[in-house]
Amino acid sequence: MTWLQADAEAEARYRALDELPVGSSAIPSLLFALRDESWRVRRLAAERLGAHEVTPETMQQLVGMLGQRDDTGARNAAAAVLSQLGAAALPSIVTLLTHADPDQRKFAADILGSLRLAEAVGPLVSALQDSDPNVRTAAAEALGHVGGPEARRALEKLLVSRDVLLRVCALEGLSELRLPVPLPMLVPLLTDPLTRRSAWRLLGHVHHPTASMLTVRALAARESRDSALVSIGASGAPLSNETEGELRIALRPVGDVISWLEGALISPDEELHLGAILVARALGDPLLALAIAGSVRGGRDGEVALQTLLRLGLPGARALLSSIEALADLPAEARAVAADAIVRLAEPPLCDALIALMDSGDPELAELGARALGRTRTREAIAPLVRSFGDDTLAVHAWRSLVHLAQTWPDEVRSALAPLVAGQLRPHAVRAWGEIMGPRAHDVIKRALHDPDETVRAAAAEASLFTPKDTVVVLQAALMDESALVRRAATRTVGRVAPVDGRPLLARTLKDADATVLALACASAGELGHIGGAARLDELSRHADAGVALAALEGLALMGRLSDELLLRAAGHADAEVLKLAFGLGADRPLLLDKAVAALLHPRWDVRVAAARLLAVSAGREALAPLQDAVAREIADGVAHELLTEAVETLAARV
Amino acid sequence: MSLSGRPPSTGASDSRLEMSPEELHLLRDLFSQASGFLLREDLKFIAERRLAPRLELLGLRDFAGYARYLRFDARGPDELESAIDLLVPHETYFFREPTQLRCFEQELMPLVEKKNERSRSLQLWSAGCSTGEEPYTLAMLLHGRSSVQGWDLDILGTDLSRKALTSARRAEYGPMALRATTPEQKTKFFEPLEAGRVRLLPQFREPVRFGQLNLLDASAASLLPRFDVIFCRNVLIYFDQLTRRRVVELFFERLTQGGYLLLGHSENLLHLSTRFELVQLEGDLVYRRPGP
Repeated sequence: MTWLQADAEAEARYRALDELPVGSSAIPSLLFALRDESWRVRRLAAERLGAHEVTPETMQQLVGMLGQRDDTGARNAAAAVLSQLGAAALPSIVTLLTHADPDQRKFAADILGSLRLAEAVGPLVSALQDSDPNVRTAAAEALGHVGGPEARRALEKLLVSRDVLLRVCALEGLSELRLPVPLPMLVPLLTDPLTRRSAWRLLGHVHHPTASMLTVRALAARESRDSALVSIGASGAPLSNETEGELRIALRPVGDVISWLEGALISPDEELHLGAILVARALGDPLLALAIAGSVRGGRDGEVALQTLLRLGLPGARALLSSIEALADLPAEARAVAADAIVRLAEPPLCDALIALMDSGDPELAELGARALGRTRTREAIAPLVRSFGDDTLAVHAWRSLVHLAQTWPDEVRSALAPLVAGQLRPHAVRAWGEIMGPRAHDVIKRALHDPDETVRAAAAEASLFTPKDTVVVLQAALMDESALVRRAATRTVGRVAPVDGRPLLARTLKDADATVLALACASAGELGHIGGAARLDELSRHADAGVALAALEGLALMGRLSDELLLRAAGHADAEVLKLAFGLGADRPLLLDKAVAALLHPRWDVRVAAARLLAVSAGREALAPLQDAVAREIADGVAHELLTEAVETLAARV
Repeated sequence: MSLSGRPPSTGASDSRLEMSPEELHLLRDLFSQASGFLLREDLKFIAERRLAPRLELLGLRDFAGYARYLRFDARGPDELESAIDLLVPHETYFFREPTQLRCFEQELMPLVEKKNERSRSLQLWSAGCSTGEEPYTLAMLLHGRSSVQGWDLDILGTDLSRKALTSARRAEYGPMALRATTPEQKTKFFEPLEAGRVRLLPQFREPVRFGQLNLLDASAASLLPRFDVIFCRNVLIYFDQLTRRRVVELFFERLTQGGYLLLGHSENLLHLSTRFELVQLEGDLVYRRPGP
């Protein structure tokens, strides 16, 4: 059999397992599948079994599998299931901790660590005296996962153990639990080559001036500086101003700081990498800006890197912009952080570099340039922004930026924009002109309203908001336009005008034939509190188009006119979004409880979550069981599982 | 609360928009349904930063509102396309993965030429061509090839992103696209523009045509001809497993018998399809639709 054939057969077994119905009848097949040769099949079986309520017999079978030395896959899969079973597995695993076979005792300790139950601490502390070193180490590691005062005491005692592995486990466990220890216990371990790395990591959690001093000193010495970075990275928090000052003094005589930090920034060790960003932040050397941005991987480091770049200020932004090629070469995560920093740091001296970005030919960098130029408050930024109105993608950013610049350079922006609205009109130029010129944009808006291009007419409707004397007249005309695009723009604008002007216009737009216009009209009616339109919104809440029904319900809710009957009807709507909205709006009323319980079986996860949330805040104790069942069924979707669990906890706490 | 949102602010805001796990999940469902693009959890950070300016322009308060906008606003479909465009990396350049290109030129092409010697035609597809560097590279490679002189040569580049395709048709590039192009190649294939930019010469643009294609759209894909070689490099990595399977199935259907599929170096068909043969060439591993 070729590997391709084997793969196809494994795929067939995987699919068959995937299609098994949920329930106790599936358990024998799932247990059998734990021994499958394919890891994917075993993993799926373990996930499914872990979500079942298992009988003592099943538990016995799972524990029995842990003893099958010849089938590592099955052993690991059984351990994975037991780790998911929570408190139900505890008695069997604690018993296993006294098994004659040390391998099984080690498995037991590992599983107890995964279970993270406080009840496991006592047996694990006893296991620290096990005759087998692997079991003792596993017990120490497990205590680091479980935590709690008793585990902490036990781990602290291990710091002086003769067994170096136990000392390391204790250090790692205390680090994981972020539990500092008294410095006298820790200091001797900082210099021991076998415990040094773990000890420095734990030192990061010790908030004491002496700990800071030790770290700063270690940074200045070649042999210990990486360990110090790990310590800083483990804490994850920026250093205090005082420590940063000491650090700068300590690093001053060190010759290769920049190249050393550049190396550490690209280290695969997450704590070392994070520590390097935090030290770079303390040093404040803009030479590191590109390396800091380039080191971002997208997690917690992104936020720290962004804050560091912002702290580097203008020189940092200059460094980022010093090479367009380098900026363009950054990975996507790093580019996003660099862009964020550049926009926030945009100041007049960056104008030329930002103009160069716009001309770089890279669409993303050009957009970044257009966005940031508006914040430079420079006259020189005006011309390139006006030029970019020829590119629709850039024009939207140019419009916003020019509005910003017009606050500082009103006449210059007007003069630069004037030629754009003198000839053939473009939509964003009309928007910019309206917003910048205000009432003086009258002529252009009037002309735009009769432009052959519907996008220009739509822009006129939106820009009319800034010419108050014309707004109503322009919107009246736009609401009668043959293009739905123009009527949508007008309807959106109606929601933003003064209620006294907007309400009469709503009467027209709430009768529009186009569903997308109707949906916006409902939203505008809600925003303006157009009580006179409530009857029409009531009618539209039955509209076949879900977008219209949804907006009508929201509009009525904003007006405080959402009746029980309407809510009940909405909860029976075929569209999942309407159903979700009904559960959201009806959370304070008991009338949807039955529907919410039924919706816990809805095929969409977000509807199940919305129903669970309603039950969490308005149901009684009787909803606990169906909610818990819903959590148990939520096997494949981690986020939905978590949100449903939150709902169970809220309800349990309330009732 | 409203679909239209609040009025857009004129100044860029420094306040941070955070995407909750639930919002990420909602957007993931929408993107995946529309294009197969998988918004993984580890992309949350980048998604927040890339999409925040969109929310600011649209006057939306949070990502849940953005998800609703994408689904219900009349401009939702366009916005959905823009959002996916923002999140899917378009990074590419001329002569990328030279070893594979060498293998295409020296090992695959002779096989294809032999197979097609009667029809004297060659159909290539660059699926997910972004801004056009890959299909144009193929045109450059084949231009001077004497064995296909006079053949009917058709290179199709498709992408979901309209913005990328507009740029591809313009065929103007900056230094980043030329990072693996030698000075000789630059002189031979491009004409210089301002500020280090270049434009591809017309004779290398001529055999390449472009089209917008969602690889999940079976009806649109049914309009495609059958290809001798399909290039789909570094595209599948952005899809969920189900979409990958569907796309690979589409490639199988659109290949001639004995046609080849070339993936990126980090990609393979493991768990995706068993219908292809894996062919070990000297320079690369490629997939082949069984046939003469």
